[in-house]
Amino acid sequence: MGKETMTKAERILTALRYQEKPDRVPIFLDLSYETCARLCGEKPSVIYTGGNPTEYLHKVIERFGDWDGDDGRFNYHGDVPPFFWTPIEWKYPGIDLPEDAMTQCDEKEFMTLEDYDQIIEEGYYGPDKVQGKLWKRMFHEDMPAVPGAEVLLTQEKEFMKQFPFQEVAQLAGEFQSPFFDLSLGRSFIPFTNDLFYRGDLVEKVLAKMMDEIIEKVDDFFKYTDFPVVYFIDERAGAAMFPLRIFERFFLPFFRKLAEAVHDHNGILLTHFDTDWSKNLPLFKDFPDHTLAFELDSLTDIQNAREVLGNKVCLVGDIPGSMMTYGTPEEVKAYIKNNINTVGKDGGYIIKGGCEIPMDAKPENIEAMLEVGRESFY
Amino acid sequence: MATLEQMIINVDMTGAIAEVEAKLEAGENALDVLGECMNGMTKVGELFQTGELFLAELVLSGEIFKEALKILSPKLAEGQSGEKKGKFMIATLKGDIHYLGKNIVATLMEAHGFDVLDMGEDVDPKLFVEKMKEFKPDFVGFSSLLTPNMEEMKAAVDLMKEEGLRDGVKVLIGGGITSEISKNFVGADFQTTDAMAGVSYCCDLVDCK
Repeated sequence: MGKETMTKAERILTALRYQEKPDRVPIFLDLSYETCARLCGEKPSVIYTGGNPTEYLHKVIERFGDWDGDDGRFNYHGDVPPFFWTPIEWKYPGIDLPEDAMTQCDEKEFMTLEDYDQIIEEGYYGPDKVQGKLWKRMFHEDMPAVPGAEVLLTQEKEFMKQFPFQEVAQLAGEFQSPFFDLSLGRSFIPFTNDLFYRGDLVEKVLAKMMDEIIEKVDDFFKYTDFPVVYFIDERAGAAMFPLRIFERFFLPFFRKLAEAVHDHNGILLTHFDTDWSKNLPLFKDFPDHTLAFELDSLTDIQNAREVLGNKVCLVGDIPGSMMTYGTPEEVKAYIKNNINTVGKDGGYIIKGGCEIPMDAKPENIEAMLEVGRESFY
Repeated sequence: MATLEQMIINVDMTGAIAEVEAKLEAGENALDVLGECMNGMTKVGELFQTGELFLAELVLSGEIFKEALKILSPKLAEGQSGEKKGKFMIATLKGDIHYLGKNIVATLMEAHGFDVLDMGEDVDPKLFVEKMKEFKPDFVGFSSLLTPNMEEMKAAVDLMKEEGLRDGVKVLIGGGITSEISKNFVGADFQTTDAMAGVSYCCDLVDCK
């Protein structure tokens, strides 16, 4: 058995940067508060009907021991800061759904074509822009003020002091891809129509939104000690769109963001749900050791390593159905195979695909943590 | 000039709808025009399965098909809407409100000549099985993005067994979180994360050609 020689933050940053090996393979657990409640024997609805979310997370840490960190710092917040709000309606267990259901979004056509014009004119993010207008349309009240990066990070640092992985809670911003935001806000079919039949308009909207995100990223880098930007897209990959759409409406804007992060010597940790196998070759000319991809098991992670080489850290990949229906032995064997292939030279972080399912078996979570804690380089 | 079939493959919504209208105005039989649309959809499905077309194109061609059907329906004389290949019933079960995958499969099954009953989302397994007695499907499909929903799928399949309905139908499950493990857990006959693969499975069993 090896010995830990790095802090949690050093371990994660070393794996993400992928220029050398960390002391051991890092672990992201990525548990929602609902999952924590269920692991404590409660129904997920308790989170939305008066329960104290952090209390369940503390109990989970007490039961399973801690882990190294997570992809987004806001996993631990009941409320996501308004900047990250997407115009989509959420349905909650115990309120809109049965008590033992998961929180889900009810995708409807919430943004209009007129909103596109206004984004191009005035911008998207903030209470005084289109985001604020959409907030009012949905909740019939004004959108709260959005704190700047310095205030947000200070608040976050204070909040995270209660958890053992506080040192990695200072990501340089967490953003949802504009492509994904529009796809949710317009809903999938209208947005697909827009891409195919109103491409010039959508292109201008996406350019404007990404410029705004890059401004925010520049701001976050002034105040963070943990130079990782977290970025989420679950729609732009070839599981849904042809490469010509990806190359026109996603790649150029993502490249601009990656270059901005690279200029800050940061890392762009990107959550790519669904199968991105066909898209992977198009990331090969991005700045080395700047990207990290979080995959959900639908992209073949071994193939991803082969295509991307030793320049991109890979994260995640444990299938949700295995965590729920598999055995601890299967979970351990799956992760060990990933470590021995994808992670043999470092550059791999253990994590569930997308997130740990709410009904994952506790013994499978224990198995996942055990493999990580024993996997020294 | 591109044919109607080609316009559907190219997801040329404006061109395809104009062509359907022009054909009807020129006196072409609505059933023949519908046949051309279905041929286009079949070709789209084949190109999707070989990786030449993508989900977005599959969805948009489905939208064109639905629009074309709206125009053709009044012209299709009763009893001339074409022989159905089989009956297909689909739902997203209790606790899950995702609909995109389900709707795509329903549209594709319709475009491939099946009589489709879409029960919607958040459907109680008991209600679904009750409706099966009336609709008498050859195939049933459950779509989900949430692992806890496998329990509901299993409950529906168990109920079908209790009611003596299981032997007469093929059960398909689909959605990003489904796998061989969940297929076995649910007791389904077929599992996929690819909408077109589900359609092909049914087509193979009833000979859609």
